[in-house]
Amino acid sequence: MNMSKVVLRTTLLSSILLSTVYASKQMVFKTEVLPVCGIEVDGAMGSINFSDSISPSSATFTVQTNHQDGYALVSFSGINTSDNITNKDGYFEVVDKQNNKTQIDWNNPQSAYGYHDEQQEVFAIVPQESNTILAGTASVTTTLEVRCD
Amino acid sequence: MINKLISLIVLSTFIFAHSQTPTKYGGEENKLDSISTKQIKVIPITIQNLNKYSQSYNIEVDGDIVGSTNMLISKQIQRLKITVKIYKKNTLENHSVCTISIARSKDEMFNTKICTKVLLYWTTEK
Repeated sequence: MNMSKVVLRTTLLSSILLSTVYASKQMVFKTEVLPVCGIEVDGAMGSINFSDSISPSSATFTVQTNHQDGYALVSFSGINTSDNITNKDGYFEVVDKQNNKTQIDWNNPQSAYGYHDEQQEVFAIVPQESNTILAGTASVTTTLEVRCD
Repeated sequence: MINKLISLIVLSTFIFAHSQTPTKYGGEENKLDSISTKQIKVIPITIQNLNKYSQSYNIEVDGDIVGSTNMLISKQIQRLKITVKIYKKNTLENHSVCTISIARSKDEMFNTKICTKVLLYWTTEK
């Protein structure tokens, strides 16, 4: 009788102690990681590529996002062209790592996908021969808008 | 002669880079953030200049430029509190808070723009 009481008490005590030890090991580390959206653009000196351009020139951009889909939407807005290439059917061509090409019409720009940490090339193209363009500086400027939501 | 037309996409050797967080404020995942008891809601955003040089940014709310940041030095992080006006009571509204890099010269081809999608609900219930 006494022996069984001792065993019972020991078992109970051990259980309580073990559960206390187990409980004390439960630690929770929790941080809310906010979604971040970023973009880098580089490419040094680029030039507009006419249909008779010998060596195409490009700029590049890289999207940074921790969104679960791993990509962001890149829009080209506020496109301004110099007079000599306005209404010449110009467009940007975005080329990804798999060599997929997306055409961004300067008059009706659509969006392109930008993949996390993947550099993508941008070509500025006027599909006409340069001798049909008025002499002077031809330039195009735009705002690269990135959305990661 | 026209062949000699050098048509620079007047890009310099600059790199343009910035980041912004959060990408979304309020909505299904953060309903409490969406709710406001006033017509004005202050939205906290954080931006970072990832360039190797100083850069400032315009702040755009719902398509209107409402101000600009100070010049941020390279890698500097700035926390901003942006005021957004809600138009209708008891209606879930979509707003956007964006930052746009300010060109350092007219020759720069690209500006970068990053937006936070903001969902707000102006409640009259107490």
